[in-house]
Amino acid sequence: MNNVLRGLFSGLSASVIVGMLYFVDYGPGNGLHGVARWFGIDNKDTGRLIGFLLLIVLGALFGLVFGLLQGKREITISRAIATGLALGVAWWVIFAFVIAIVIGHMSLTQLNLGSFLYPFMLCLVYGLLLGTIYFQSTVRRAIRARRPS
Amino acid sequence: MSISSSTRDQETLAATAAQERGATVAPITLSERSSIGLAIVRICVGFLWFQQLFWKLPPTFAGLYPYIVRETHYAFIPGYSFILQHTFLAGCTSPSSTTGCTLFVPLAAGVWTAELVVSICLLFGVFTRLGAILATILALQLYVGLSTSEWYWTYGTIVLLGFALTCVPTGRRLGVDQWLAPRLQAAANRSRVARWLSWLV
Repeated sequence: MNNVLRGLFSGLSASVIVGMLYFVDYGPGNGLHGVARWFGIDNKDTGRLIGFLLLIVLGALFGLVFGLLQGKREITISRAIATGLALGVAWWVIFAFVIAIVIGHMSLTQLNLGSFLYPFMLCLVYGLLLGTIYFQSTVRRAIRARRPS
Repeated sequence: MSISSSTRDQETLAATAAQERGATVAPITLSERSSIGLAIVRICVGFLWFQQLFWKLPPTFAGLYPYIVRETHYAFIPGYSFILQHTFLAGCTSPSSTTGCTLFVPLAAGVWTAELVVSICLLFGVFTRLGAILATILALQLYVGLSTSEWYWTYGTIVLLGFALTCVPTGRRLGVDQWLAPRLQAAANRSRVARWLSWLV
């Protein structure tokens, strides 16, 4: 598996875990309306499903970017975590802030501690998961490759 | 024939007993899948605490007030209600608003900050055991104050979840502790602080 594909797999896994978190409490999955709202496509009937699908697609996209950024370099846990968290922040800035204002018509006056903290932390959790899953799969593959057949 | 069979039985029993003793003291190694599974449990518990930040947001922390008042009615430890009423709720004039309360906001700020620390520790797997210990203490307080007003196990389960996460180093997969742990363990021989901190990862 090359680095880009591994990034895709890690991004998908991380976004599925984050998507699962939305079903833990206050649900099921009501928070996913917020994801659909970034793009202004939320509605009462299918907003949750749209939010979940967007989360998976964006997760895969950022996973691909992670794989591309990683390139052929040897991965370390510190770089994997730092890159993952940076991509998590980028996700928040691009989609939960800029896109939500421009396309989702979110007003800046709506931004308070609660509306900032919730998506921001989840974006960071996604980033951390992306980095650690990528690192884990790289290390496991290297160990498997070294094992005598 | 019967003597030799009996000797063999005794030898087998002795060998089994030795194996049992060995298995009892041998450290238990978790498989990679079990570690990942426990890490996901840790993240979910962290998210549980994280979500509880939003109904008692600063600067007023107003959502917390009715629960503190409820604790004065339902706490099962003698004297607990008296202490709450005469310290953090001293001066409060209404059971539904914080008017007149001077020490409620400092208490609520402390609770909110502690829950934020628990959330960060468990969601990001950073100093996970510190977060789990804090979660256990916070949940114990809820158990003392509120368990008689609801289904007992609601709060009992949260206490046990915190305790379970204290016992197992769940931050070493899908968490920052994966990076921290080896560094702190390497520094533990030289520094006492690193030795203490290495227990919290």
